[in-house]
Amino acid sequence: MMRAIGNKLAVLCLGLLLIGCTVRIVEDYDPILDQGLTAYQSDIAAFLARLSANADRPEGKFSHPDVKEFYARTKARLQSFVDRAEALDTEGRCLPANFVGRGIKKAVADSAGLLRSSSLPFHEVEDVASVIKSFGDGSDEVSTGNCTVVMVKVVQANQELLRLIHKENNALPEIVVSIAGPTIDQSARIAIKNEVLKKNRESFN
Amino acid sequence: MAVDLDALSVSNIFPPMFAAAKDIAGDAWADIRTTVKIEFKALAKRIKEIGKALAAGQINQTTAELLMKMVRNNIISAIALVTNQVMIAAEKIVNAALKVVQNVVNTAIGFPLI
Repeated sequence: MMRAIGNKLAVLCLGLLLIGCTVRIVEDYDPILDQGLTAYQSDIAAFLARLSANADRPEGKFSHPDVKEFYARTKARLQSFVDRAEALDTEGRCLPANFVGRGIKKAVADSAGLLRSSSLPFHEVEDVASVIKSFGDGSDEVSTGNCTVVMVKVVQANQELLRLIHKENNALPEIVVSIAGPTIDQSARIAIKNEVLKKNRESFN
Repeated sequence: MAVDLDALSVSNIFPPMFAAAKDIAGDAWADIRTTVKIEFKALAKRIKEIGKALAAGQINQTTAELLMKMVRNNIISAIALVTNQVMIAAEKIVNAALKVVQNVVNTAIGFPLI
């Protein structure tokens, strides 16, 4: 009996090997994405250090031509990364991230509804609801696509949030850079780590 | 040609497959745990900094909301990274097990068939 099962297992395994079966679940390593994200990480760190040091000078203001040029160039560059990651795998889904993204949006939408229907003073409800609603906005957009696409979309989204913060304050004071800098660096680091992970997987297989 | 059918038995194939899978799963879990610890600790630190800066009047409410969105995005990104770590670990486990089978089969047959 055991020998019969063993032989069947051997035939099955042999079949898998003969059809050249190397299991591949996660998309391939992309050296262009890896190098591009690494270059972006150092560029944005240099930009933030320069802007923070010049927060009170014209070259640190949102309206300065160099600043506008940087945002426009970086936006185009990050869009090309997202397009590339999406083009390499059009079918992939990152289900846990997708659930979290949609979950955040649903949770904040429900919370805003609860606050609106509560007996709190109207103006306070509106303020709190708007804060909560804004937290959920865009969470489902960054979480669609395969996991690599999600990570690259987050880098892109955080760059756009930095631009909005700069526009809101017309400068990037040290306190803002001390929080936004490490957060943006983390999003780039996560996406780079993902590429390194895939690269190391290539050498294992 | 003599093929060693005894070598192609469950008792010969399964233990090394299991051992390979166990080693890889152990290493992968250590990596995943490190990622979760580092990334989520950093995110908790950022949330605290945003709250402190807002309370101290160093940043306005709009800036705080935008910074919080960055943190929220990074939570999604960290989950995506951990997902890929788990998936790649699964790939490695399956492929290592297949490699064990390859070795057993080639040994049993007496020449590198696969």
